[in-house]
Amino acid sequence: MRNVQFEEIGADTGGEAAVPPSAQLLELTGKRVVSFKDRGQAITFFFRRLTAADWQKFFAGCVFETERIGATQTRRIDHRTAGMELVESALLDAVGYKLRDGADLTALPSWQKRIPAGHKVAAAELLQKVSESQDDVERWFDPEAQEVYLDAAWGSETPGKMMKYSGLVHRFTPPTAEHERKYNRASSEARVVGGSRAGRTIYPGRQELLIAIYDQLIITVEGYSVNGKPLEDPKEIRSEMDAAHKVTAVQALFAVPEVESE
Amino acid sequence: MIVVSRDYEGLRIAAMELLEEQRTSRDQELRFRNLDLANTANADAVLEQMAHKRTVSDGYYMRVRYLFWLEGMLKLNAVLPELQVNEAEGLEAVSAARNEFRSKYPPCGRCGFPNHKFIPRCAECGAELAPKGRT
Repeated sequence: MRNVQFEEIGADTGGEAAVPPSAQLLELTGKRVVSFKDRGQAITFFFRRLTAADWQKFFAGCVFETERIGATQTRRIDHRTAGMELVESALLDAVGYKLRDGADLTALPSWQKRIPAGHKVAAAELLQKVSESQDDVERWFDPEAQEVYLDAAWGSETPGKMMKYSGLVHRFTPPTAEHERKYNRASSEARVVGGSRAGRTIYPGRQELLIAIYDQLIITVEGYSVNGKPLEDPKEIRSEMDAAHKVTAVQALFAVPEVESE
Repeated sequence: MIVVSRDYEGLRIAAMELLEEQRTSRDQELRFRNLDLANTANADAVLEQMAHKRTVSDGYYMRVRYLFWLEGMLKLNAVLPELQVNEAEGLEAVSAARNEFRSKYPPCGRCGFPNHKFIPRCAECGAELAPKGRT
């Protein structure tokens, strides 16, 4: 069993903060809250729950290209455009904007489009903020399963600060050579525009495959809840788990560790 | 638009260049360590010369790495479903590059390091190489 830890993160915190016990498990249902500070002013966004379709649209809109000009390689990674669209499509409410005439921003027509672009980008980044745990946590070896630990920003109790969950566990059936092959093949399927020698390489997204692999291999998770109850049943995990967490967990499953040796 | 996995000539070129990179990376590491860049008049030119020469777009090298991996798995008799046509053809392209590489850099009979055809001693283990072929 792992101990999932949580804390608040924000520009002016510098440490842990008291969090209500209800927040100890990452609750997947309900509204998603994202909060950050811009020049000292707390901005809070309330989103409807992000569905698998929302994430698929987002992943499909992400761009990853490389181009070689002489000996120089340039990369173009664009998550911003897709992220802004994700924010606009799922945003229900926004708090923290003071209008000069005292009006409520969200009462204006198409108010989501009036949110500053930088704030949409910041919110989109917080919605995607999940990564493999980097902390020096004790890792157990289970010959029957392979564990992956994630850290994620999710929800907010205090304006301007995000909750951080550390050590979320995803336990998988060990992947077979065929799973690895699918993963490696998906990484190698590219298109080139402008000729084979000086062209631009466009890498297609592989998130759909990663989600399929997740659904095939997941056994249990720890640290998540659905409607207040710990998420335990594999069938429920497949249907309820956030797609961004699925993708990150499978990437971590196939990641080659940085080997330390002396 | 070129589908990299089906451009077998491009894959052959990329495979050959990756094999050459593997061969030279050790030499380059040693040369780089011994190079006094601060006192080298044409440091930029030297570094440029040492940089790997890649002539096709990046997607080809990514695909070839996958094909190298697949080749290794097949050698280990890993249980994999049938190959796709583009994988089989891609493996052919890699195999052609390996043959070309072996002919250009015959392996040392003792340690297997691929040496230039006409050097007298293996650059890796120092074994004497036969005038034609290797020890």
